Amino acid sequence: MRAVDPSIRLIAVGDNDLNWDRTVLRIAGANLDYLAIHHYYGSEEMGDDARNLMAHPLHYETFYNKVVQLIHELAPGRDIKLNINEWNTSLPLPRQHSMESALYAARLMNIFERNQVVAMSAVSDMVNGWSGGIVQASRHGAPRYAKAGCTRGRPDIRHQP
Amino acid sequence: MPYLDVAVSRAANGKQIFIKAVNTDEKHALRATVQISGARVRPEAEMETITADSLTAANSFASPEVVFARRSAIRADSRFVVDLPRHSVSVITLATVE
Repeated sequence: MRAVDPSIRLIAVGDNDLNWDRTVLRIAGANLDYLAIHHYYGSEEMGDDARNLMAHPLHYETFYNKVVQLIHELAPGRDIKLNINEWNTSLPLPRQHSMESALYAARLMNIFERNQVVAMSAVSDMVNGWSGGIVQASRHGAPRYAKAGCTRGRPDIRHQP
Repeated sequence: MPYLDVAVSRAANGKQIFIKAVNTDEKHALRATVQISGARVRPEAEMETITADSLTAANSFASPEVVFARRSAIRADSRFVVDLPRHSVSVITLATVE
């Protein structure tokens, strides 16, 4: 593809499992521009402790540092970035659209901004799609819609609808 | 786990600084001190906060304003204090002085 258009950027499927990322980077790191990783967290993972939900975005901050180390080790000299092109909580309704869920989203979006390795992100979904869509098509919005506008000032973070 | 989570950015033209502050404490408001280094800001600033009466509050078609955004004018300086309501998300916009 690059023989035809050298400006093409390649995104490989990454994972929250570092072993997967290690394999992908070892095989294809020399040719990649981005690793795409999805972040979903909710009822199943947090158990009965809601504090796990508030704390979990901080886990991704540690995870990103480990991915950066892998990139340096397995694709030295390549400026590979992360594309978190799906993220959301996975909670039952109406908790999925609650203030609690909004706090998780806000903290996670702060973490995207604090970590330079994250170049792009996209909430899943922007409109409807599933019950987690941050705008449910009607006259009214869901709480996380307001937070989606709060990344102004960072043009290097492209938030895809 | 820290209750407060903050990310700060600056507009590409340098004219605005954005402070995004999340207070994840379910029970208590949080008083935070903001200290600006490397820039001077105008005293007139704006804070926009998303909050609700409870952590479980959620908007619905029948009740669309249970979770709401509130905009207020605040006074900024090289060092100033802001009060972040419990379980809230705030964006503070500062205008820089050329």
